[in-house]
Amino acid sequence: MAGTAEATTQQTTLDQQMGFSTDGNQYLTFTLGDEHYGVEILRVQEIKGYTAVTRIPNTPGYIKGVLNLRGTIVPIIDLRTKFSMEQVEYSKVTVIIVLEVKGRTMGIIVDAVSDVLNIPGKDVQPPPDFGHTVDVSFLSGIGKSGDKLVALLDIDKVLSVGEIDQATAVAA
Amino acid sequence: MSTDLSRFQDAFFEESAEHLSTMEEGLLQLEQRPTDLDLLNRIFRAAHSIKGNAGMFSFTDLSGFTHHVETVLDALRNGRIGVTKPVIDLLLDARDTMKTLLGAVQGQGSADAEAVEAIRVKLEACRAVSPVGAQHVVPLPRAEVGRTDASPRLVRYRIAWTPPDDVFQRGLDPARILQELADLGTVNSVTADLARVPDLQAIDPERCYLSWSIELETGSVVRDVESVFEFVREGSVLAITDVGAQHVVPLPPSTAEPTAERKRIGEILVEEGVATPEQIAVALGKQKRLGDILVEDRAVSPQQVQQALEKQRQMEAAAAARKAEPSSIRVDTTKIDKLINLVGELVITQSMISDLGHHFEMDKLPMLLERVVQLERNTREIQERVMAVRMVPIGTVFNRFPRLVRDLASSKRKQVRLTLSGEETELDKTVIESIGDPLTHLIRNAVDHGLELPEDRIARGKPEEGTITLNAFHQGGTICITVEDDGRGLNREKIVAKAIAQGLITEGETLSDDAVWPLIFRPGFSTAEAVTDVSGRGVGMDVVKRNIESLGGTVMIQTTEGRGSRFTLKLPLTLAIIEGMSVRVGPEIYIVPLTSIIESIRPRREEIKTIVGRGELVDVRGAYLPLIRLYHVFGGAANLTDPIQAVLMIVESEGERVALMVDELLGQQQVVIKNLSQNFRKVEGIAGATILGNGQVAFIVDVRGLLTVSREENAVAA
Repeated sequence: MAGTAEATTQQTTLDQQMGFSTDGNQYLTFTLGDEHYGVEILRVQEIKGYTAVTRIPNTPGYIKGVLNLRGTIVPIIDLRTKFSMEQVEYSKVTVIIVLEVKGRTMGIIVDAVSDVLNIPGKDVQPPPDFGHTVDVSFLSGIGKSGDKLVALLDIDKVLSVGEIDQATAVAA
Repeated sequence: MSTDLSRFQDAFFEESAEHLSTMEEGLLQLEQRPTDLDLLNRIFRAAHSIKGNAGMFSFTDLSGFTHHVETVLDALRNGRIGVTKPVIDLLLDARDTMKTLLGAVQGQGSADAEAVEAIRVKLEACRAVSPVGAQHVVPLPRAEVGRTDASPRLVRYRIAWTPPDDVFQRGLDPARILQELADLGTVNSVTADLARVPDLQAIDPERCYLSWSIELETGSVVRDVESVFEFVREGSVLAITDVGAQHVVPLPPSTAEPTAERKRIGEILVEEGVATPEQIAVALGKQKRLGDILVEDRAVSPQQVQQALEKQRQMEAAAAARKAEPSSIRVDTTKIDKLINLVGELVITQSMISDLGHHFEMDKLPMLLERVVQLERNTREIQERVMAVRMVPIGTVFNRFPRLVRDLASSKRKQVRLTLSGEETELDKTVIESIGDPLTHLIRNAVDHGLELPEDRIARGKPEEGTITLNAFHQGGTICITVEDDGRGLNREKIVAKAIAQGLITEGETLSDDAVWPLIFRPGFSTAEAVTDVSGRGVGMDVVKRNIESLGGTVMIQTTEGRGSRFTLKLPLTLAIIEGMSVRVGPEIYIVPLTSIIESIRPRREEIKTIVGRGELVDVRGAYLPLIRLYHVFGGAANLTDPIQAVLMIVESEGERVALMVDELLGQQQVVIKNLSQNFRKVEGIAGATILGNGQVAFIVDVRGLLTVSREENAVAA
């Protein structure tokens, strides 16, 4: 019996080394400026380099436009604009992460993708409360990975269509 | 095996639906031409096919019922009863019942057994009624209909027979008995009861586990039928029911309940005396569900069972959802043949090009270009042909209306003649499926409100019989469907009065006729004095308009008081591909549907006028049209901001014309419409997106929405 237990421990360590999840969730992390963000890896459909998009008339600024993804029309959202961060030129490392959000396919534009991280549940703390000064309602938590802080996005909230509709109504 | 059967079943459902419409159509025509034997034969064949196929799938309710219909049709055929309105009414009702029964076996709703029985009794009475000239069908008391031991008339027996287990050992063959029964008359149905068949391992090939229920129609008396079973009677459970008379003839040593077509094992055990009902009840109480047993044996956890059950429910729900949406299409084989030819050509062209590519030299360039052009032509033709596969003649929708009109007319005491034309006009299946309801509504309105009562019509010097004309034809890239009646027409005063009462317009406002008629499309608008069960509630016309517009179509009204009205529905041929004009505004490309473009002009300076400094108008041969700058409505930057240099496209939506200003026209092309709301949402002014040759996305302009957006922006600006 002792042998079996040992084997299990070894296996767990191996899994962790290999980056497989045995506890907690795996996140695809990316950067916006100096900040690190993560999205649940199971929601990611693909990652592609930035290509020009077609602007959608009369929509809020953070909706960059639409893209032809193998015959489907996919809306693309600029996360920097969405988070009211300063704009940067799109470069060679600018990336579109295509995600699945409540049955819809959408893309987000980020500065660069960094890593796939396994963040165990014990290393995730609830999002801090800044009151009205900073809106963090779209975060599902703050993850720790080594000395890095990763803001974990609740992608359903970030890309909620209801919010897009509202924003449009305000814009109009 | 089971999937195979269900596949055949789907084909059966589809075919039966077709046969049912053949019957309906035929019956309605038969009323006009009572002596047309070919027609009658066609109806008969349709009914017969349904009966036969239903029997094959053991839908005994349906096949049994259809048999009665067939009998009446047969009586019509050999002149024993005449074609009268009551008979046609009854047959139409019976046809509806068949439809209900068919629906029931498809799992859509259930048939009301009493109603079915009532019709069945009427059918039976109908064929027993005295010959030609009978104007009223009096349902005869049942006893008079069927029970006739001595009469030569056909009698129906339902025979439930469970042979003894050792029937084979006694050297008797049940199949031979069935054959002998068939010799006596017509066997309408034979159903084998497999309930007693044990698992394969437990089967003793020398024992008979089957029992049968047979429906026999014969001129023989009960005794003759019994005599067939003479040799097997010992040990058999036999019940012969005279169905006409419900007269049960139990035979010794039968202990059976009559005519149980499918028995549970418990019932059989009780019948055979090997178990008492109490024993069975106790045993049934001991039965456990599979999940419980597995949990007890610790093979699985209760949660797992729960999950599995949940999954099962979901699968059932999913299966039900799938069932609800049959989506197959019947295609004319010539269309497929043409498509196959085209694909053949495509293959040839492709091999020619690849051949050229293998040893290519610059001097062969013209040849390559020529072949690429050929490839283009092939592809376009294939695209057109494939679209044509989805095209269905509109007759499939029109066919339901003769019946609707007939029923409505008789319930409204009106005389109506419905003429159909253009039934062969083809349009996309999705469009076909969505125009049924709006058309039904328009036709109901025409019968109920449009046409006057016969006496009023005579008073006005019109023929007693009102006419409703339903026509379909192609016009440019659209299809037009008109619903026309020669009734009283729309009453301008009434509509205006009602609109004022509802606050839709203000008193004293002068409106053109073309502005008055569309008021009837407002929700909740009805000028009917009395709300009837058919119409007048004020819901409907708005739904008609909404349905048609959601298909990208328009509704137009032309009417003359006292002379009639005509509703014209204009619909796109297909929803998937449109003919569009690509236009450029600054760096952006938009597609404007060709159907909404009237013309494109370059105006002269003096033709551009402004009103209150902002509103721009352009003079197009005397008509002042509002000028809308596309870059104003959609944002973005145009290269040209002076209308004199830019291009003005005159576009029309619902009779309203505006001039749309763009930088440049790029050319006309067919575009495949992609859905924008699938991953995003609807954007006002944009009908959809399409993918250009370079892979970029371009938006298709929705002219109607564009006008709305433009107005809102003006309002904000003001």
